[in-house]
Amino acid sequence: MKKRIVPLLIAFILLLTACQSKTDYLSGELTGDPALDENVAALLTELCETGGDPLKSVYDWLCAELKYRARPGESVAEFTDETIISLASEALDKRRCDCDGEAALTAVLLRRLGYDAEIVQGQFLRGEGGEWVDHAWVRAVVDGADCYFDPLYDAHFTDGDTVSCFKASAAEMEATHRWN
Amino acid sequence: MKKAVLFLLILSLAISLFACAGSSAELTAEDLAICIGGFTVTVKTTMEDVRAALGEADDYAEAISCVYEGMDKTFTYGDVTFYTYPDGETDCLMEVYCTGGDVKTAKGITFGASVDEIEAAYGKSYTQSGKLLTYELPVSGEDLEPASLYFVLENERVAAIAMTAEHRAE
Repeated sequence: MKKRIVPLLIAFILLLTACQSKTDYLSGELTGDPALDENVAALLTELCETGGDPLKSVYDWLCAELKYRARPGESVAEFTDETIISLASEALDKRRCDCDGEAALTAVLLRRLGYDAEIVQGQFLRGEGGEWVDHAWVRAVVDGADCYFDPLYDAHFTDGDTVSCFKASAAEMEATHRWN
Repeated sequence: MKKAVLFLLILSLAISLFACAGSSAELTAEDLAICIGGFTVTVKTTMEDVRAALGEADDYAEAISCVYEGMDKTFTYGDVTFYTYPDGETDCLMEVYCTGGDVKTAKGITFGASVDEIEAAYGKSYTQSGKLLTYELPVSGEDLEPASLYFVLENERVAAIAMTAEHRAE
């Protein structure tokens, strides 16, 4: 009897572990907007189920899929929950956004992955020898340390496959970004 | 036996060829055009053309560009918005985005059309990403975003129609 139970128990534990690891990337914070939360879950499942680093998969997707497009209206003065939901929904639906939309969607995805993420408003150096312009990106706590994410910067101002604003430290960001 | 194998080989080759022929109809820049209330917007249309045809915009906004040197601008006419990016002193058309009104593509697709109707008009050489179904032309140089026609789908029906002109990536 024991001989039968032990393998079954092991199989059950393995199955439980597999199920657990598959949904770990959806264990984080919801936005409270059902449509956005559903779309975010579908996207993260698609991006993360093949394995690898979920953070990197999400970041690469943001760099590759989101096209830059200005947004009519005033720039965002403060990122309230409602603003973040609105901007992130639009960016996810239309795959087009400005830096505010990109930062909002990045924050939503990282929060859903379980990271404590917030939007940083400041300025960045647009291109080599360029000027400082208003910009938004994301800070998140990863493995206990503050890390910065700016997919728009890497999509437009970094050559080739190199990324410089993925899990970057404050010191690394300061060459091209400034904020309070 | 040999005849049967040969027959099957020829049959599979013929099916493959037919399948390729069905999806290889290449799109041209003219195919991406959108007709807005009788005014045809193509990938070559300038903002001067837009103003001459539609007059002054109902709403206008500008902001310092995050990507280009200068100001990004948006010109809204009812349910249609034109997005421009700066190239020196010129405001170049980046995209026109339509969510309503008298709008039809060069091949007759309008709001409410199904994916089947889009495929019948433009073929199957599109990419689908989320709610977007996009047809792109090849780019003419490095660091360029392609000209494209894309449809935003809601419940598998066209809810928005947009065209992008080829433009600098940065």
